[in-house]
Amino acid sequence: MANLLFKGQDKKPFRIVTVEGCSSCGLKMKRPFQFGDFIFKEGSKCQKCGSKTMMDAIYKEELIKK
Amino acid sequence: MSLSGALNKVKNANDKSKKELLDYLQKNGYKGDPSKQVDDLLEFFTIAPVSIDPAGLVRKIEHLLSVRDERVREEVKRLLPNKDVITTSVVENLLDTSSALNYYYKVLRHYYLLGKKTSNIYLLMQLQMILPEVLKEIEALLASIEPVSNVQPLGDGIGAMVAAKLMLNNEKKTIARDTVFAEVSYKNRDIYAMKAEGPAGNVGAVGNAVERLINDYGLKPSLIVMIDAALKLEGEPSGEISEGVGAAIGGIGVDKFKIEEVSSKTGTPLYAIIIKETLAEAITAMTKDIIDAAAKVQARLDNLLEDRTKEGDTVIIVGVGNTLGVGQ
Repeated sequence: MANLLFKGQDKKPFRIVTVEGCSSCGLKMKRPFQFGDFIFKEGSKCQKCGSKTMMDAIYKEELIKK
Repeated sequence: MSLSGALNKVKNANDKSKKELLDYLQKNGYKGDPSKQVDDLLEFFTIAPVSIDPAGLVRKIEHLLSVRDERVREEVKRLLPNKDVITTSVVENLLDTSSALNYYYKVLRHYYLLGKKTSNIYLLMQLQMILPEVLKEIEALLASIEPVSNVQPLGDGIGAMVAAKLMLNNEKKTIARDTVFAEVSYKNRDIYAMKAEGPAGNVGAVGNAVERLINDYGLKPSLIVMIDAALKLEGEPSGEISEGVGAAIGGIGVDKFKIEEVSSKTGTPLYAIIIKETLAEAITAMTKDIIDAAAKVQARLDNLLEDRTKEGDTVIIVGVGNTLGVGQ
């Protein structure tokens, strides 16, 4: 019980990812989160059509699949 | 684990959160050692107003909380005078976490020492029994430090995120402290969507904002919809959504009271859509299950608008929650 704390039994390795979405062609580009990213911030240029993208999502992604 | 061992772990958690806060201040330009100022802020207290004559109690609570929030904000600005609102909001959030851990540690230590001092086995047994739940909460608080320091969206921000999506590409106006709204035409309805102003770590004052839209702007909404994260019960899946009636908002109750009051006085139906999550998910970085729920909330909101309102109606949509890492 109390030994759950800080033992790391429940902790799975994860990373934070940012998803940039292109409203023109619908392409989604996932990359590691960078400091300064926030949801609905303007992103980089779309790798497919060159339009501006928007950061659609930032979330925790577990590195080991369930 | 023994009670003393658990208490030691809680002390370590408390020390770690304080150290992270001090490091954050120094990393952001504080010269010297801010320990004294931070200790004073961690010990800063708020005395709840007397409730034996409950008339006007909410107004008194609101006043006290407002004085406290302004004071903490001023102190943080004094510590980091030239920093932007995002950085100072991070410090305010880290202070909240450290204050909570400080309080947990002191209360647990109090009952542990009192139980030992008075040889009261029942007190110690009660402490032992509640310990697993308390330790889970402490662990969640500790885990919140990293995403908050990095300005990453928290699970609690999902309601704000849904409202922000509606507000995109529309003019945003400030309506209350740290709170913005946008007038949006959606499904041939006049939507007034609001949330705390992001991407700083704010929860805003949506109670005041709804009150102002109706009383000062003269809106006559056909519907108010609140979208918020809610604590799930064990066994319920994270990211599951539910619809109901009432004011979906946490906190001490000031915003809830104001929205209930204005909706009941005007006879406006008050609906809520909640996204279920654990406490740990609410205060740490947003998970995929929760962010995926945004689309489900949007679909439920569309149904609600079509079923409960008609074209040309006015609707207020409130995205509730800490908007850290969520713009608009």
